[in-house]
Parts: sequence; C-alpha cells; structure tokens
Amino acid sequence: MAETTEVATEYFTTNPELIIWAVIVIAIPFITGVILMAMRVFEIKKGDDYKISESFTGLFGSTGLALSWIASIILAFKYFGEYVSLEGHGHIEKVVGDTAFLPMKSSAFKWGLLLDPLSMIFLVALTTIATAIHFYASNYMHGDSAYTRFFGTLNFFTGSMLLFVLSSNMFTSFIAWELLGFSSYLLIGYFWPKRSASHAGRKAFMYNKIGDVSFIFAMGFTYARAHTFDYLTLQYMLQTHELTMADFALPGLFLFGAAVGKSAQVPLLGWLPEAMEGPTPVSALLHSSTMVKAGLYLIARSFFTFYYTEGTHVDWTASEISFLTNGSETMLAFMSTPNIIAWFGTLTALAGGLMALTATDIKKVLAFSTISQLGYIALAIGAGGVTAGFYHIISHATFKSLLFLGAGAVIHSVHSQEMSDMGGLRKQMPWTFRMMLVGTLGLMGVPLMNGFWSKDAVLLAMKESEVVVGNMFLYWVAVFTAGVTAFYSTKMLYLTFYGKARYDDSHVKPGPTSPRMKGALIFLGSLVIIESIWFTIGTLKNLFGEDHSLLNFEYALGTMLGVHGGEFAFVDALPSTTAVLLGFGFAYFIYAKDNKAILNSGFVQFFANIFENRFYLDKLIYYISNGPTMVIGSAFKTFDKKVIDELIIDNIVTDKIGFGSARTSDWMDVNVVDGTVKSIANSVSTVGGRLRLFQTGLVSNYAKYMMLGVVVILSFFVLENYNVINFLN
Amino acid sequence: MNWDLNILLLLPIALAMPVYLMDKKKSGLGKWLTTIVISFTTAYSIFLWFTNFVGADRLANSERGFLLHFRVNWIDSIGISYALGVDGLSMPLVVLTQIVFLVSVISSFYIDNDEGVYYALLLVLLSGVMGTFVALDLFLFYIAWELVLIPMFFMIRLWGGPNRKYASIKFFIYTHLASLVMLIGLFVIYLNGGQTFYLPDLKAGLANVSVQTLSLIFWLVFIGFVTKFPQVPVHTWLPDAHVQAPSPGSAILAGLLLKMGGYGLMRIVFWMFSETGFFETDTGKNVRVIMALIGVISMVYPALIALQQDDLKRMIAYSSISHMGIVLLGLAANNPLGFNAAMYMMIAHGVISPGLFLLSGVIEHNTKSHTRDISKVGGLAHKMPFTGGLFVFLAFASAGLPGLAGFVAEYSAFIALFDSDLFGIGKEWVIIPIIAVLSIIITAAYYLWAIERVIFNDATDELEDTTPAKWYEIGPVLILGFFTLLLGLFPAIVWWVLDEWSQGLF
Repeated sequence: MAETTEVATEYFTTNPELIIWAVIVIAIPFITGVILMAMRVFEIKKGDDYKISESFTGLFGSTGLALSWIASIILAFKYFGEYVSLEGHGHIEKVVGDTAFLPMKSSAFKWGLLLDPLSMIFLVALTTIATAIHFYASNYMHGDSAYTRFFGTLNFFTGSMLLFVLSSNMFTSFIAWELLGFSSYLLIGYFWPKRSASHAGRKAFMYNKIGDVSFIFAMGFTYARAHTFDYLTLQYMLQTHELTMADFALPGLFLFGAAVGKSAQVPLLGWLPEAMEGPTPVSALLHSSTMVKAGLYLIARSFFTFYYTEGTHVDWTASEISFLTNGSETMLAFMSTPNIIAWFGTLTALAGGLMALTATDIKKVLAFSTISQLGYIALAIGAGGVTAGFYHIISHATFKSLLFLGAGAVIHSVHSQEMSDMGGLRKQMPWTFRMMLVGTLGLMGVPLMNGFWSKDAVLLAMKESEVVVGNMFLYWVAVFTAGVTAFYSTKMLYLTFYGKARYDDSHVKPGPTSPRMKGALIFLGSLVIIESIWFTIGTLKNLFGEDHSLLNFEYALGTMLGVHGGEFAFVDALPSTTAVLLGFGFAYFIYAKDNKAILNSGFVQFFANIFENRFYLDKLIYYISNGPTMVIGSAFKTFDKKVIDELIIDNIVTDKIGFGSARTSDWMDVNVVDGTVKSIANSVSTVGGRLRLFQTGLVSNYAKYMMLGVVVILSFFVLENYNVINFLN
Repeated sequence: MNWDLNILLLLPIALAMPVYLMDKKKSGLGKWLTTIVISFTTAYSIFLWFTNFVGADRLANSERGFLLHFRVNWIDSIGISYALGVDGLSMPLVVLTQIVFLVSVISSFYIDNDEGVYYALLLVLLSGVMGTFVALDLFLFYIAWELVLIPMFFMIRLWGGPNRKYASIKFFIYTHLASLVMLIGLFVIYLNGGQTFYLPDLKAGLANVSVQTLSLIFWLVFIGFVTKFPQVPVHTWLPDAHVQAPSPGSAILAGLLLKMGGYGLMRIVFWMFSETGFFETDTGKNVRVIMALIGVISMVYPALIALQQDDLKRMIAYSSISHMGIVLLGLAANNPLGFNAAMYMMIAHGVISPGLFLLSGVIEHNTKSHTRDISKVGGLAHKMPFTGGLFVFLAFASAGLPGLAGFVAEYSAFIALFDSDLFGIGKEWVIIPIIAVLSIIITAAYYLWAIERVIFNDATDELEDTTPAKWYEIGPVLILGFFTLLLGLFPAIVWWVLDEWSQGLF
C-alpha cells in the first residue's frame, strides 16, 4: 500500500475534500433527474390530466443545475487556488479520487474522478451554459404534456456529461459516454408519438453505437497492453518508457473512431441534423457543451496517445500504425493517427459548411454549422494544437448555445422552423435579434470576436503542423470553410430578421420573448462578449509588450496542459478574415440585394442537390449496413427454419431414427397428455393411482430414450474392449 | 452436517403433492401456498447469502471449498452419496433461482385451468433446478438435471400456445438426447476419476488423467451442456419452446434452464479440470478456440435472425441465445476476468430476460386479439405507460446500458478476451473478440427497432380497450428491474464472490 502511494504521488495527488465537491457537482443533476422521473411516474399513476405544477417542476430541475453550477465554481476556485500556479513554467498538480467498481485482485474497473485544468475549465463552461439552458427551457417547454419528464431527462443528460468530463479513466468515461447516448436517445425522441422523432432517436443511438464499439476496441487494446484505464497512469507509463507510442497507435485511432460517432465527423454525421427532432433546448445543450463535445473532449483528454512530448521539447512524436504501411515513408506519415484525425476533421469542417448552405430549416443550418465547427476542433487537435482545439471548444460552446436558444425563441414565436416562414423579425423581437447577431458574429469569426481568436488559433495550428501530411492544403480548405461559414451565417441572419415578413399574419403574432428565455439569451450573449473582450485583451497584451500574459487563454491553457500554445500574429489572420469578408459579401449580395437568380443556374443547382442529400453519405451507410444485414438475416432465418429445423431436426433426428415427430406426437397425446388430463378430469381418488398414471406415461416415454442411451453406452464399451477406440487409460 | 440446503432443495418437492391435492377442488389455496413457500425459500436463500457469503474468513468452515456442506452415503457400493454444498459459483445462482421462481409464480396468477397441477409442477421444477446447482454428487446432479425436464415439458404442453405439441416434443428430444451424450461423459469421468461420484474427489482424481481422455470428457459433456445452453447449431428448440410456453414458463426457461448449461460447463469442465492444466495444452487451446468460435457465431447468427422476427417473444428468445454466446466467450478467454464475466452474464441475463419475457406476456394478454406481433402492436406507451417504460428499461439493460446488470458482464467479457493469450491484440484469433464487439450493434438495432414500433408512435387498433397492467403483471417485472439496477450499479456485492471463486482456479 505504502509503495503504491509513493509511486502515485509522482503524477497525481489526492484530496478527498475536492473529490467530494466534484461528486456533489455530478450527483445533484442525477438526483434531481431521478426525483423528477419519480414525479412523472406519480403523475401517470394519478391519471391522464394530472400534472404537478410546471413552475414547481421547472424550477426544481433548473435549481438542480444551478446548485451544481455553484458547486462547480466553488470546486474550480478551490482547485485552481490550491494546485495551479502559472508562474514561470507553471506548476500543476492533478487530483484523482477513485474507488473500485468491480473488486478484483488488481482492478482497472474503477469509478474515478480527475481534477485537472482541462476538466475544470470545461466543467465550469458546461455547468454555466447548461444552467442558462435549463432556465430557458422552463419557459420554452411551457404547456408541454410531459413537462416533468423533459426536465428529468435533461437533468440526467447533463449529469452524464458532468461525469464524463470529470472521469479519470476510460472505464468511467465509457459509462458516462453510454449514459449520454441513452439520455440523448430519450431526449431526441422526446415527442415519441411522432414517427419522425422516434426514428431520429433510434438513428442517433445507432450511429453512436458505432462509436461505442470503437471505444470498446480502444479500451480492449489499452487494457491488453497496460492493464489499466487511468489516463494519468497511462501517460505516466509512457514517460517512464513502460509503454511506447507504438502501443497507442491502435487505441488512439479507435478513440478517434469513438469521437467520429459521438462528435458527428465524416462519415457518421447523419444523426446530428436528424437530432433536431428534439425540443430546441435539447439541441442547444446537445450541440454546445455536451454530447457532440464529448467525443472531442475524449480526444483532448487522451491527447497523449497520439502526440508525445518529452519535457518542454516541442518535438512531436506521433503514433503510427506501422503494420499497415509496408515500411513506406510516405505511407507511414500518412497513417499516423494525428494525420488521420486532421484529414477527417478538415473534411468534416468543409462538408458541414457546404451542407449548411442549402439547409432551409433554421435549426438544421445550425446543426450543420455544428458539424463544421466540430471538424475545426478535430483538425486542430489532429494538427497537434490541443490548446487551439480546446480554445475553439469553449468559444463554440458559448456562441452555439446562444444561437440555438435564439433560434428556439424565433421558432416559439412563428411556430415554424423553416426560414421561409420568417423574415423581418428584428422589429418584433429586438433582444433576440441582438443576441443572435452577437452569436452569429462569433460563429463567423469576425475580428475581435471569440470565434475569431479561437478559429485563427485552429488555423495556425494546422499551418504550423509538421506531422500532418499536406497541411497547407488542409489549411486552405479550412480557410475556405471560414468563408462558407460567413456565407450561411449571413444568410441565416438575413432570412430570419431582415427583409419582408413571410409568416402568416393571420395566425402568427411574433412578440417579444418571455422573461426567462430572454434572460438566458442575454446571459449567454454577455458571455460571448466577455469571452471576446477577454481573448482580445489577452492576445493583444501578448503581441504588444508583455510576453506570455496569463490573460492569454491559449497560452495559459498551454502552460496548464504542459504543451505549447500557438503564437498569434495578425498576419496569420489575414487569409481567414478575407475569406469571412468574401463570404459575407456574397451572401449580402445574393440575399440582401436580391440576386437570388444566380442560385438557379444549373451549376449551382447541381452542387446544391449534392449538399441537400448530404453527399449521399446517409444513403450509402443505409445501403451498406441495412441491405446486407437484412439479406443475411433473412437467409439465416430461412436456414434456421428450413435446414436446421425441418431438414435435420424434424426429418433426420425424429423420423430416420424412429422417433417420428408426428408419430411421437400422437403417441404422446394419447398416452401422456390425454392420460394426465383425463386422470385429472376423472379425479382418480387415490394418491397412489395418480402417481402411477403420471409415472406410467413418463416411464414408457423415458424407456425409448433410455434404450438409445444404453445402446450408445454399450457400443462404447464394446468398441473400447476391442481397441477400436482407446479412450480409457 | 448442515441442513440448510436440504430445506431449499426438498421443501418444494415435498409440498408438490399437497398443493395438487388442495387445488383439486379448485380452492385456489395451492396458488397461495406455493407463493408463500417460494417467498419463504427466497428469503431463506438471501439469508443464507448474507450469513455465509458476506464478511471475512467465510471460507474457514468450508469443506473443500464448499459451504453449507451436507453429505450422507447413499449407494455405497458404487460410490454414490447424497452430497450438497455451495460455493462462489453456485450460491449466486441459488439466490437467482429463488428470485426467478418467485416472480414466475406471481405472474402465473392469470392461469385458471388446472391450477393444482400447474403449481405442483412448478414446485417440482424448483427442486430440480435447485438440485442441479447444489448437488455435489455427479449422480445426484444428473437426477436433478433430468428431473427439470419433466415439469417443463408439461408446462409447455398443457399451458402453452397453439403449436405447443411440436414445441414440447422438440424441447424434450433435444435436451434429452443431449443429456444422454452428457451421461456418457459423466461415466467416463466416473471411470477415470477414481470410481466415485463425489465432485471434490473427482476433481482430485482427474488431476493426472491424460489430455486425450480429458478431451473426450470435454466434448461429451460439452454437447450436453451446450444444447441446454443453447448455442448454434443446437439452438432451434429454444425459440419454439419460448414462443409456445406460458410466459412464466418462458421466464424460468430463459432465466434458469439456460443457466444450468452454463453452470454445468463451469462445474463439470472448468472447475473439475482446473488442476489438470488441460486448457493450457495445445489440445486445450484448440478446444478454447472452437468454443470461442461457437460463442461468436452464437452471438452474431441469432442476433441477425432476431432482427427479422415479428413475434416479440421470438425476438427475445433469439437474443437469449446471443447473450449466452458471451458466456462461452468469457470461458474461452480462460482468465479470471473472463470467468467472472461469464458468471455475471448468467446472473444478469437471469434477471433481465425473464423480465422481458414476462412483459411480452403482459402485452399478449392485453391486446385485443392476444397478439404480440411487432407489426400489429404499436404505441403501447399511450395505453400502458409503465409496461412500455419497463420494456425500454429492460431492453436497454439487455443491450448493455451501463448502470444496468448486462453491461458489467458484456463489457468485462470483451476486455477479458482482448487480454487473453489466444484472442488478444496481435494474436491469431483477435478477429473473434472484434466480431463479438461488433455484434452489439445488431443487438442495439433489434431492440431499438422493437421499442420504436411497439412502444412509440401512435396507438394501433389492437390497443383500443387496453388498460394499464395489473399488479401481478407489473410487480414481478419491477422486482427483476430492481435487481437489474442493483446488480448494475453495485456489481461488487456479487462480483467479489465470483472473483474469489475464479481466482481459485488459476
């Protein structure tokens, strides 16, 4: 025991008090969630119309999250105060607390929590955004028949994500990961009487399941090598050369595979737009700081599995899948895990952006935009910029939740999700418009907004990457995507808030947003602005004078994670800013100046068709998964019935050996079953008589089979005697 | 001498005849007596668990590794004795048996024809299953094993669905022929293990037997057990038996009768061979590969068939076969984690699948034309919210959702395979665990598909007059759901007993 503690203190420390705070943060939403579900059971029990007061259940759910938020802030203050000092090279200690889930001699299966800068920053961002969304939802979901169920599931969902963020080993992560998948299934299929909603829930779960399988592979391969799932222990084993990067080639790749499912990367992105079937607050939560971020957070958490740094060196060693490359140098570089991540990330960014161009449903625009931004994050992490990626995770979480809540307010107001039913709403909904504007500017990456800084950090990471093959190509693709982003963002904003009103005046009376919804919007809007100011000051301080100001988010993050943060120069932002301006200009030209005729050309329509069909990826996946599965399945079904049952069992076993099923059946009927039934019907009075009847049937039945048994046994001994077979010694 | 197990074993069968006689006049007393008796034995078995398997130095009083040991001579001349005892392998199954019987008897309350015979058969069945798990004598084991067949046969035959004749005969022929093959294997064990039927003696006696003989024993008993289990290609009795059996019968069939095969395989093969080192030899390794192949085929093949099923119960039956494949895979891994996983799978499946079968029975009893076809029933949650909710809960448990029992077993089996000497990464047979893991996608697919069509969407005409389920329909499932959650959140309560047992084999 003493020995393990000694080793342990080298790379982590323990602090029960902080761990208890962390448990409180996670437990509150779970507990309120379960209580709310119990209330729902009570409601159903009471009958159709019974409903516990909305203001009570809504407040109960929101308060649960608010308490968790407060606890997380206390936890973060305590942690950063006690264990993090950024002077010089920085001194970081990580706090771990775990307990065995499956008691074994040496159990790797543990509930474990890890407090480090990565988890703390994400935790605070998550609880902040989630709390705002819960308060928003308590107004938004007003009048829904299963209001209680909604909050129960939403709390449970947030709790799963909190557990995921704080987990210290892959096992706990996986539990939280699956719970996320399950609760998102319930939330996406929230309106389950609707066919499209229940279908969307299933689709989301199935796509995620592919990621889950990949996660299991990663864990299986890790366990076979290291017999532990702890992130810190694995990292430590790398540093002490107990493990090499080669050991992590496959686990790293499969961890990314897990993220492909959860974070909707190419090719498994089809579920995310469909997930819009859930209520809007769910989309806001799902797209900003939970669910889809889980995959990328996992990659950031297990960054050490594909990039290795020794001390303060910046020499990256990337894990490579050597056995696939036949020793070829180019192939080796190409098959490195980070390179694969970067390429997939860039593809996703581009594909998501292009698909957003043709979407007409405001929530779908945002969904595709999420896919695109997730691609950005993945490409940054693949290129080695874990700080850049995390930077973008945080700023995207803020502005995307704001955008979704704004879109929700608009939808609530006009009762339609189609942008063709909106227009000119800025007069009726001034605050929603203002906040949406702030969010859109962040999404577009307009200079000095939070999205600008984080996106340029992402682009810079790609530009400077030495591991990624063809990094300049990917860089320009990413820059182009920035232009695409500006285009669809402008289009969305214009079609919703400017121009003529296209909604049906007689039914729809758009009005100002209700107080709690507006409050959440303004809260998140201010967050975007605060982040923008913070990031701007931090970077400018860095550029003019003070070296490595700790206000510089990326630099501070780099210090805390023990990696290098990118050094930003304004000239690096030039291409992307130009692209944004061009994208904005085109959109303005087409939609505001009403030049939509351009869009009708055959050339544009050809591409629009492809984008609308999501590059036919969904169809392709459907055909390659569903088709063969069903064909093989029905072939197996026939085989089971015709060959095994009818040919072998019914014929060979029964007929040929002389126990014809039909004959046996008749015989059984007459002698055993009828006999028994008759005996009961006639109520033969003596116990002995009844016993005899029972037994007669059975004995004669047994006799047949016993005879067979005896024959087998006898022949066995005969053969043994004559040394035909020699089994017995 | 300890009489505890005798109570559990003999009390039910002793009361079978009185129960039958009491209900002869349709008094309805038999039903309640059975319920009381089984409630008592359930409580008693849980009491035995707490007094004997919780706390330190519990093995101090063990008789060669067995607690609650009881042995008297029976037929001395050929070494047959009446010996009972439980260890870390059998005790969880003993408790499971009691719980599954308790829920089955409660959910049998809808039965209104020949009640007396029904409950008498149920009691005999209970004794048979108990005997299989607690017998320490090979002869007694075989008697109990065969005793199970008779009441089950009549339960399907007399209270089953429209095609019950075919199903019951098929069930009988399949399992009985397999038992005969197994019987030969048991004889070979007897002849080579020192002419005794007492299991601990046989275990010691087999230590120096040649690999060839061990291999013969393995295949003979393997055929017997794997048919009960059942695995592809000797599985076709199971869907028919399940579909035709009354739902409490299905619950017992899935929850316990399948586990007898798994238990037998562990007790007669893996436990008894543990001192021979058989599974480390080349022959033994081949045997393990074949086991794993059968296991993985039995995971994928029935799963794909389950996707095609329209009958809910048939789908669940195929999923049972699929889950039992994991048991075989866990055993093939031949490491403590794999053994734990295999045992845990039997326990987890033993609480989850009876619940699903009972629910499909509830659906059948409450639809207009008494159907459980996925294509006909829809929107169940509108009319029976609790039944629908429980179905979602148990379906996800079966598909391996963390926090519920199935996950622990499934997950640790996969990890054990990746960690084993034959199926690990970089090894020749790594493809087996990979396919096994991939098959959980299909598992998720058929459950979600069924949930979507049966529970969600709009209510169909079949459910017009449906009212929420009655207490005796939903209560038993709630009990099973409780254990599913308990075993999923705190697997430690059982796991350390299993781990202690499997560590003892290595």
